[in-house]
Amino acid sequence: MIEHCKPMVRTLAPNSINIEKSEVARYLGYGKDGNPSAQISSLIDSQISEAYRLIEPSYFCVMKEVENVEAFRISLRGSNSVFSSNIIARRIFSKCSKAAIFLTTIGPRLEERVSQLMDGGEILKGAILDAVGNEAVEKVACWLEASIKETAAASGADVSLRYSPGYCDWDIKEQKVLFSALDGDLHGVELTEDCLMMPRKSISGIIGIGFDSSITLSPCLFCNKTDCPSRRL
Amino acid sequence: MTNEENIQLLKENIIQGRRDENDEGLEEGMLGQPGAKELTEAAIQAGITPGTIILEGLTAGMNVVGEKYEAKEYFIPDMLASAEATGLAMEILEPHLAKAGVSSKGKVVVATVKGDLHDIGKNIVSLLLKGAGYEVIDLGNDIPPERIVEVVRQENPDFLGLSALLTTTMKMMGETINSLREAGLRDRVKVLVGGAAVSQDFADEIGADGYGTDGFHAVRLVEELRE
Repeated sequence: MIEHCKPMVRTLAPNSINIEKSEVARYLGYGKDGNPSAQISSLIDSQISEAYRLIEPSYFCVMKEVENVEAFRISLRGSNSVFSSNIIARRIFSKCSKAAIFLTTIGPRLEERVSQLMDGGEILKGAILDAVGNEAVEKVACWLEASIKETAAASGADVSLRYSPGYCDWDIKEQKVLFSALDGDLHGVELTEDCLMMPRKSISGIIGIGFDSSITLSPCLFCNKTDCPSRRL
Repeated sequence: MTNEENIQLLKENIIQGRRDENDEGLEEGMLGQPGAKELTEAAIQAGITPGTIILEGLTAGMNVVGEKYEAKEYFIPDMLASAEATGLAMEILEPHLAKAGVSSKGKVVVATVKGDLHDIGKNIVSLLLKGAGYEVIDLGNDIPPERIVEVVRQENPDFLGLSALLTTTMKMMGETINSLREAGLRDRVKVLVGGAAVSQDFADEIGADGYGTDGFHAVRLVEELRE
């Protein structure tokens, strides 16, 4: 469970993450229109087993008080961090008292194996293991999200969805601000010049905490980009 | 097995995405049966020309895979299984191609642009192009314009494929095209772009010669533009 206002770093046992085969299939493009064949299905199974040997799930999380919210800006107390996003500020953080800044990762080993497979011409196996990695890091973030929700619920608070730089109108370049707000041992996760995380299978972001249930709503409800593949409703 | 049966079986195994006898394939009961590897070797042994093996076995098989993918009957992994089976058959055929006077259909340089580390889409396009008979030089990801200019100058490819996943990095495609222009190389190579954030409008805006929505579309574009 996440404690308020105290930086938390934790490494999870690989098997505490539940990698769902149906989600891996979804990342590979199988939607409601089709299921993997026996050959692909057994490859997904074998790559999920491989992933459990490779992933090193961990997270870093720190709670900050929301100091001030203007239409475009969210400033956090005691960190000099100011995030700029009209949609997230106005819809969510104007009603939040706290914010959890987080980083989750599954470490570099899975993607090193993907590169090895790709370089050796095993594109199919590599693409499947990469999709398994997407699902695994997503599940680490879900695990952390659930933990924050549980802590908030104990004091009667609600939590928002999670937001990462690049979501809505939040510029991906603000990864730099987010990383400086985390200010700690980030399990070797680093930002490239263009603000991509290395290892790539990492998720950073912010979750709002407050006593107004409208913070749980998705901003996608008010967005006109109805064909967005990342739409959350 | 007659020559016709051999080629027909090869085509079927490409559609099934079976590299060799150890692959299961999409339908049951195929394990242990010869796959693309064994059937290509048998075809060479039987004296079938590499041109016929490629055209009537591999390309014909991949055309069906493309149709199934378009019809959403096949998904990315199914297509990759077939492309890998084709790639393996091409490897076996390679030493025989020069002897038979079969040359590559063209040279394609592919790269994920500077700042972007996503390479799965690019790898899929490379695999499909190789399977379709093109020579592919894959530079990898995070490739700066100056490196691309250098390779275009040295290798003189027919096509350059640029990939980017993000809106922040796709701008680098335009910069790469500008660098080619400044180096006086723009007219020597056709530039195709692709990736999740890219659109036809964006491709037009930066002066690319084509935009591929997926791997098969990229191969079709290359085929159209080389004519």
